[in-house]
Amino acid sequence: MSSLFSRAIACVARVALLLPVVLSAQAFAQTSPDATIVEFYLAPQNKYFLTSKPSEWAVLDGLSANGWRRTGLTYAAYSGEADPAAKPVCRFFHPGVVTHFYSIDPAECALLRSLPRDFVDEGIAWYAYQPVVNASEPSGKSCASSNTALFRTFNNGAILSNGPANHRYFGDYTFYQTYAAKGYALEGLAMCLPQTAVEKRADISRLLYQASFGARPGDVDTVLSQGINAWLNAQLNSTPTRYTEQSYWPLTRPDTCVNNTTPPLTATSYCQRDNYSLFQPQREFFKHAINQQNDQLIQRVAWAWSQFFVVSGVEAGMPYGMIDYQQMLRDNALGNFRELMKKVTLHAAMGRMLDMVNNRKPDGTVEPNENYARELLQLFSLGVYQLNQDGTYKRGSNGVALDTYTQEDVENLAHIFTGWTYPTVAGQTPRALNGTANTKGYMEERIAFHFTGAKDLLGQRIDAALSQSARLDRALDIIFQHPNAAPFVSRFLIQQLVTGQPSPSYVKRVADVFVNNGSGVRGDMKAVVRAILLDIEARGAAKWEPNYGHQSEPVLALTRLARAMGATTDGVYFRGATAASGQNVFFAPSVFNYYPPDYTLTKSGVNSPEFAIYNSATAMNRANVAYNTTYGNITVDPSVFGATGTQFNLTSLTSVASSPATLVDRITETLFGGRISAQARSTIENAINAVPSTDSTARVRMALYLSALAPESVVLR
Amino acid sequence: MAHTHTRRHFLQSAAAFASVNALASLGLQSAYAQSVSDYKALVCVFLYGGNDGNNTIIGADSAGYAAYNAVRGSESGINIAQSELLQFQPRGSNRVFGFHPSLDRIHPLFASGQLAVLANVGPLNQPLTKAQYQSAVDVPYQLFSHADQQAQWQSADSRELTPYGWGGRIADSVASRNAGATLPVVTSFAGTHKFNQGVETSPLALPATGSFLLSGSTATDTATTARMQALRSLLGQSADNVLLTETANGLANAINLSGVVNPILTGTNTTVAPFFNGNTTGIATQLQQVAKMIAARDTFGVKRQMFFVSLGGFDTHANQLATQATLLTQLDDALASFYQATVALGVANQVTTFTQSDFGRTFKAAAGGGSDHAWGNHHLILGGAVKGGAMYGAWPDMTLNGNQDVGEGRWLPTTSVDQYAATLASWFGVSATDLTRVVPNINAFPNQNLGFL
Repeated sequence: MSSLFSRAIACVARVALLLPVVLSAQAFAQTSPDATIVEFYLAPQNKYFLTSKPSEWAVLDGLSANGWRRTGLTYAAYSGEADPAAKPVCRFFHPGVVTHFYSIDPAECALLRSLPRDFVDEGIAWYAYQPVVNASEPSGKSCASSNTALFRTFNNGAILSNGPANHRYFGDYTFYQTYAAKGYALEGLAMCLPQTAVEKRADISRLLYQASFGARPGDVDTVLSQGINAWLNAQLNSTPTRYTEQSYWPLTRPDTCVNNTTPPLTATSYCQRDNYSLFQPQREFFKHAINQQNDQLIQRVAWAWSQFFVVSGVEAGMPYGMIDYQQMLRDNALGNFRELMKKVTLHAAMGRMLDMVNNRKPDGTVEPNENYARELLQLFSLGVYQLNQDGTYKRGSNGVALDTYTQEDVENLAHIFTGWTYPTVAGQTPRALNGTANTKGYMEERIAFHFTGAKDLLGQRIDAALSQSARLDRALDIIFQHPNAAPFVSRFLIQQLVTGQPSPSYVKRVADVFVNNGSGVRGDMKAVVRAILLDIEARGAAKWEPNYGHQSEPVLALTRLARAMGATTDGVYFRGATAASGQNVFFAPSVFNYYPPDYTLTKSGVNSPEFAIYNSATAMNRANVAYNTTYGNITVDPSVFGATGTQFNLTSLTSVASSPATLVDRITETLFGGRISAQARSTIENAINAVPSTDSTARVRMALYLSALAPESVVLR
Repeated sequence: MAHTHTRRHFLQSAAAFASVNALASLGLQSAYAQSVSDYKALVCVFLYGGNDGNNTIIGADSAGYAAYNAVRGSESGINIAQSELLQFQPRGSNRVFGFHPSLDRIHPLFASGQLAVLANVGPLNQPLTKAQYQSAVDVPYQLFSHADQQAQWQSADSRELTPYGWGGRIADSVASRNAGATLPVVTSFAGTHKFNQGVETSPLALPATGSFLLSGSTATDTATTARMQALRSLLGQSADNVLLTETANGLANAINLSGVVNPILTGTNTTVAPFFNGNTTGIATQLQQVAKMIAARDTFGVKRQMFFVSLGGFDTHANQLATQATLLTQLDDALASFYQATVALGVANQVTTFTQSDFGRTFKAAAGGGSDHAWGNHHLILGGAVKGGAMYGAWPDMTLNGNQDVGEGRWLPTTSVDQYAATLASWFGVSATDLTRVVPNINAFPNQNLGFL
């Protein structure tokens, strides 16, 4: 490449930095990195050392008897000025404390060069990029999103348990932050490293399991060609897929509504199943999640909301209402949280779920029903303890966590939530309180049953003078403006999409966006979701912090596998399969969802919500569902009108099945987030080799089954 | 009903007699007797959502029903008529109470002495007066919240959240009695729950229905062998992330234990099965599996077993009369069938079953024919070793705004979960010196054994 040409490209790269929409263009502008930085560790002295020089690798590899070993962490860099935008990184050695120091800052390098009695100049370590100033980032600097930010820590040696003074560098921001607890000083962003082509693909692979129901073969290439930002923008602005609408249907089944098995099959043959169970919305959930591409992120966030604002078939099982509610969650998934909270509050399905419907003012014998008021505060908005903006508990002087609200707040809010009834069914006459349990649409006001006096909520007054609906709005405003709302909601969504135990600073960065999207708007979920997915703690090719990530819940495990297998489905198979593996869609046991966001593993204390439903019984069922999906014969359900069954397109895998390594490479991108250990790889490759190469389908099935159950694939990190 | 009951008893005794004879003819009677005499099981039935104890046990004499009717009259929407109550008079009491009409199968077990009631029990940090409650003296955290009160019932710790349950801590204490056993002490047929988690021991979770066998694992062809070998290898590889390790352990544990457990779960136990004929509710299915696991105790080599089963849906803010009747009918059928099965297995005196729930519910009704979250609640203890026919704890003063009402008929408990747990633990063989390991806060309460066992 001529220098003139590369300079021109570098110019494009700089312009791109200013224009986030085309920022991904930089991915192509950068020259491929030609050096690998390897991290070594000297266990007896607890020291870390980086080098990109193969000659030094050889020396240290030969000193394993002395305690030198590779940590497994490597980074990409340039060996020379291949990319004019790349700058030299100076390397110094301090013989006094026996540690190395690397810097890309010319002033810092010059300073150390002026202190030759303390620092030995060891020349240029490698070439990398300088961080750019960015006030919104934690260290005041940032890297281009296509680069790996390398952070520096320093152990000054003062704390003996940490061993002697030493720097350690981190590409994984979460891992970096954990070193504060070890007594290391967090010195911020040191430099920006280019991503290798492999690392770019791994980052995209990770994005696809964070922001979709799993990567289909070819999805990584699609995002690579569009760029992460462009793909994300398209997803954020797409139109939600629609469930097939159903009309109001009576709660008591007419004798004529049965499952008619006599041919010919029509759309209404299975009247009972289709009107008195969640069969249809469940299968459509999987049909859309697996087949659709354009609104993957919206569907994924809507699925998260359905586990936050839980309406369960246990309490509100009529499918026409559930469809209406779930469609509302999709339509508002990336809208404003305040609007979403109001729609949830007034939706008749939620009214039935938590008894706000036909709730009435006190009459001496009966008190207003507290169910919705309590769970709105506890589960849907604020949580039981006061939070700092970073999601940690606020504590009183005695160290005890402070309650967010009192029993009196619950009772007062229950009063405000009186006087709402079922939506009047078309053609019926509105009643004082509608007894016809119509769970489609929004509840109607009945002022005669509304408590009209003033009430206090969270220390603020809801005036008697306001109208019934204005009082509800006032209550929702008080909740929405409460300092807990931003960290509580942000942390939940981070846990659903990225990691079960986000660092407080990650929660704060996202909660700050919840408070203000940059244009002064509070509760902009599009901005919040973007912030979650583009955060430094979400992006990158691999994460090394030992608590990072979360387990695929059963639904996600199954959709990821289906999509990795190129499935096209009517959803029938998957609705049954996921119920068997412990997560019956739209059928959580209670408003507390399938698992609570604060579930922690007993032994490690790690916050990992999905493990609340992972045990020996469900693990076995999940394994068997994976077996049925990869090895089973999935037939078309003859009872479903218009059924198309499930087809897998394994061509991209069978075509490379003669090469187990290539086969594993491809599955690594769809099921492993682009990262597989050498051990797991060789195990799977050996198993593939046990199948004759002539039977490519059997080889692919073997690879998919083992990959679906490999812990490295089940845990998203 | 009474006739049927007696007849069933006769049949069960005959069956038990026959099986003992059969063992004797094989020269195994001493082993059988040994295993029975040195065996105990505790079965926790958790009623998720917060069962309304105020409609489960109701004052049935004139004064008692008048107090009930004053607050829960017909206009409350949750009234149960006096004539429907299944009456019982606790030993040593001049008062008459009534069970909810759905509890008709276990009702006779009160009079015959295998069923006891523990009144107004709930989470406490120490004995508490209403005045102390009002000035927030050492009150349990997050009262009236489902998740928090479940946690406190299951951990017997109301001061702070702990990952351990008192079931699990009992298991820690008695684990040495199961030396060489193939199973852990605790088995849950209802998934993962704090109650079962010990500091040193962990429970086994088993499916209440279906098999517990890895699909596609039994063939012996080359590919299957390679696949199983690879799966075992993947699950055994060391990981740099705790979530990976836990994921691997969950499946590996299941695969390792399926060989010994699956035949028991999927097999029909002809002694147990007749008592559950036609009784296929979730709670009955779970308890039938418990009975089969108890029957297989020698196969597993266990002397102490704990089981956790659950029934959900008790959060009756509205439509309580119908919902609770349905649920209590399921509970009643399942408990009665299970008790009869333990009689037939010859272990009735070795198996104690008890209920827990999130909380009681407000005595005052909520709009919609229901009741809201409250505190103290009444519970049931069932088994041959139970000193039944009696009410333990103290029946609350049911006056609204009275000395035991902290609001809308939320009873301030007079017996703590700690005392309930300690009594069960002591019967199970937890030594006096080990009791604080199981129930860390037991010394805050003067009476550490409520005497129902």
